[in-house]
Amino acid sequence: MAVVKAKKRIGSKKTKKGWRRSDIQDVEDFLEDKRLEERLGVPFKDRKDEELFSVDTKADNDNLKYQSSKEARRNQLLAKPVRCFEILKSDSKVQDPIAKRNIRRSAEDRQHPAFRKREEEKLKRKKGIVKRKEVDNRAQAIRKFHRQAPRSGFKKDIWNEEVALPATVKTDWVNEGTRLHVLANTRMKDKLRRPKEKNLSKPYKTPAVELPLPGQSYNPSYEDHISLLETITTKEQALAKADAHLTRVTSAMFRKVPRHEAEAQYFREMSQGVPALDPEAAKPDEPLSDNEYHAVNPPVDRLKKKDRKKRRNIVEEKRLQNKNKLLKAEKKKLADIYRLNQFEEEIVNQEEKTQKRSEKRIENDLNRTTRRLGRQKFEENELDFNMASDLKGSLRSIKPEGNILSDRYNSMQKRNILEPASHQL
Amino acid sequence: MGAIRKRKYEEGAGNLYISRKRAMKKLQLTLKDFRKLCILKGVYPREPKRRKAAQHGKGGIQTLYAKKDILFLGADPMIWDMRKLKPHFKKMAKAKGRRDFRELRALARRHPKIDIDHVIKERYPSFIDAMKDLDDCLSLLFLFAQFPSIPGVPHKFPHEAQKLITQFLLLVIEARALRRVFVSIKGYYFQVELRGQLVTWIVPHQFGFVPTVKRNVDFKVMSHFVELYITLLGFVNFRLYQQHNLIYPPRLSNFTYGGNTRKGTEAKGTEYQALPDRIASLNEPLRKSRFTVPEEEQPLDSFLLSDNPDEAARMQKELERTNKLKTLFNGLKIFVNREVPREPVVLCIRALGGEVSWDKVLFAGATFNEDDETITHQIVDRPSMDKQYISRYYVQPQWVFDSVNAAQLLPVERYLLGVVLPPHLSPFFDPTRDQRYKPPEELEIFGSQSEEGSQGAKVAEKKASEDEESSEEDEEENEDEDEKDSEEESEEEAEEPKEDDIDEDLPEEEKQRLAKKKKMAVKKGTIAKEEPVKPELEAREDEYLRSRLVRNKHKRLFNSMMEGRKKRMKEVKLLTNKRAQLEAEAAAAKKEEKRQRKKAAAVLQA
Repeated sequence: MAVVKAKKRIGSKKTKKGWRRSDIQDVEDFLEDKRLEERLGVPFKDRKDEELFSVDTKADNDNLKYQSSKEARRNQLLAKPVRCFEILKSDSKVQDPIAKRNIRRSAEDRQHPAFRKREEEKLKRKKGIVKRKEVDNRAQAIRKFHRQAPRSGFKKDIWNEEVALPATVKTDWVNEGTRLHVLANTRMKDKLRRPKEKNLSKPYKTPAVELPLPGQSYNPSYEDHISLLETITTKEQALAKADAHLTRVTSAMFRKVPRHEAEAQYFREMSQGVPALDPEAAKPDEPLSDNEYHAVNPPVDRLKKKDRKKRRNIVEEKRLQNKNKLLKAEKKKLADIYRLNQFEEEIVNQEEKTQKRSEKRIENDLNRTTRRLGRQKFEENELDFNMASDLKGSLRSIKPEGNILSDRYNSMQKRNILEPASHQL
Repeated sequence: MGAIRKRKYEEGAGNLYISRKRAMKKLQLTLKDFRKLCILKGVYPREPKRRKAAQHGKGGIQTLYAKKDILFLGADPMIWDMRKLKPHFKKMAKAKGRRDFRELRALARRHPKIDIDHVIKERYPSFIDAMKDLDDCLSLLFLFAQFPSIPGVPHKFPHEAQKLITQFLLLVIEARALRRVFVSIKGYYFQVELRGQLVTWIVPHQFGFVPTVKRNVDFKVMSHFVELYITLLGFVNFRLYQQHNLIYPPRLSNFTYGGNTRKGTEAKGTEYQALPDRIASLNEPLRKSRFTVPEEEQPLDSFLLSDNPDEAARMQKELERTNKLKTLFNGLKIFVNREVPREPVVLCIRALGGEVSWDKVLFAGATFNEDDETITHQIVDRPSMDKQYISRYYVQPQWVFDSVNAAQLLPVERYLLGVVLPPHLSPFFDPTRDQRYKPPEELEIFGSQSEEGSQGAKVAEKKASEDEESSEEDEEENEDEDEKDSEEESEEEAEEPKEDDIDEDLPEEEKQRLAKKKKMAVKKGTIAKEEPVKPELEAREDEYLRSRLVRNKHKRLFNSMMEGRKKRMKEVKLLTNKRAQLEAEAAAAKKEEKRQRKKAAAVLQA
């Protein structure tokens, strides 16, 4: 008897109970198979031979190689991907159903392809890889040559040009302040002259490049080197001495006290004279011995007061004195008429003296090396030196010392061009 | 009419100075712009005589400027360009914010340029003034030429500085202007003489760039100086090139520039590309200008008119030295090895007339190869060389520098390959420190300042001959010559009395007559010479008389000075004697050794 396949009973699907009763295992199996297939790719039986196998035409050298050293084997291992991270990688062949998923692209991916191409070309150019056509392009090369030339402004001999100096306004009857004010605040600005050369152009006598000491040679003589080291040591010793003095008169002068003791001391000092805290202050003041009146100022003596007559006399006397003085001056004026020649000579002498003194003052000013221009004091850079062990006596093995930029900056401060400042922004 | 009321600080120091803050407010500039303007225009802060009054009674120390200076600053047209910068940057920021790149580009093109050319003429009214400030300018530009681009320094500055200093060096070479060079641990000091002015500057050693600690140096401030000095050096270069009949900007004389369209002669693009390097190599002659500028009269003979004889003698000596220097390396062909710093060595050699080259691969501009047999010297700085040519000397770079300072080609023996070098002494004398011991090596290079200049040269010659001679043979020859001389002398002596003798054959009377006649003969008289006063004696007497004139007030100081001098001279004498003794001992020891060796050889032969 043929086995009659039991007809599937199709119950009512009306209720939830009916739905639950239905058997969909086969469908699920099928779907599971399909998913597996998607994950792993096409099943082997459906693949073509070429996809599965390849014809080996080359000798496999890798297997023949024997990694002799331990290091080589280690290196080989290092080249392999790390196993613990492999689990994090997706092995699914299923494509992402959401094509526009928000993936963060790298900066390089985000670049426009045209831009990327240009950058690559630039990089090549930097390495010196240029198209032959470009190299041979003469016109371009000439253009580049001229572009590289320094700015084209230096085309004239400025010291050979005749430039009319701005005419000064003759202002004998206007005072200096008014003249400057008018010049600066009207259209006559260009008539403002540069302040005098001696005061402005070079406010120093120190040479711009101070000549090196013989001991600073890359290969100095023994005496020179020793004398340089001596100078430096002397300076350093003076510095150390000053430092020691400072420590001695400041921090070394005070005893170190534990905190609680210092606090107690502070409390004691601060509460002095407060009756509630200080037992000494709490004691009552001694009462005054007798009940007499005490004045701060000494008493006024009525007898010594100037009366009206006395005052009048004083005024009269003063008036007379003044009158006599005037008379004397007038007389002297009359007598001086005969001394005019002498006066002239005196004036000339006086002027000469003033002139000399002012010249000397300017000279002295220039001779003073560094002036106080700002809040900070000028400090000279220390002398640069090599220790004897650093002096190799050969130009090739020279050990450069010192910073020229810092020297330049320091020199400008020394010559009163810049004000010394520790930190400028 | 009442008197005009005088307010405080309206006159005197209070009215002469102005604080920086007030100055900035007056000029309506930011601190940055104010600083730049001050540096460019050469306005520096001042120190007042009466600070309290100058600060209007305020305590502390303010940075003060002269009021006149600030008025002068306010008159400069640069100030308007500076004020334009702020709104310009605002506009650019706005355009950037809107992403309006077309506008941004247009704005960048219209960037307000601050032209500072007029400042140069104003600050340096004559060319000599500009030359006097060249020390600062060159030192700073040589430094900045080595810098990479740094924040605070516009990127074009190092590039332009490099160009301009190359032009300057080329001019130094063409003018043969180099005078002195000194290699210190900081860098190379060069001194050149241009239009009668001595210009000294320092070039850093060329090792890797060492960044400065930013706290020490304000780069922005320094870059303002660089801006000024770039402009200054540009104009100075232009004028110097004109004065030396050269085309500016420099053109190589052996290069055909564009414009000449004849086929075959025109340079290829690649050649153009290599041109900047060839110019920078300092090794090719420059093209002369067709329009010759007449030479300015040099104040050469001024020393003859000078009142001070010492000064005149010094100048005369300096002039002789200069003339010798200008052709120092003439006819020498020098090859520079790759381990030697090329630029300073090439500058020294080329600026004093030598021919120089280096490895072709090292840098452009090499003119001959290492295997050229006509090379006379090769500069090397390594202990030994594998392949050496016998036709040339292998010397260390110090030979070049010392020769420049000595103004003569020093004997190469002490500078040969692998030899321990003599000390490199500073050519910058301190004349106040003349009373000290100078070893013979120093005298050889610089001579003695107080004595004749030729002494140094003599010492050098002596040294050279000493080195060359094989002493023993010479000594023998000398002995032979001495013997010969003495023989000749004795012969002469023997002959002389024969002539004096009277013939004995004559009769007695005749003899007497002749004898009497001899007595009667008038002898030729001699002028009684007065013993001339020795110049040294005279000088000493002079000095004594002058010392008598010293005032009592200064007597003590004078005496202490004299004592000090005596002490120093004593020390010099002591050291000189010591050196002589040591040298004599060494020579004796050498002689003894040689004698011993000879004896041993004789014994062996026997």
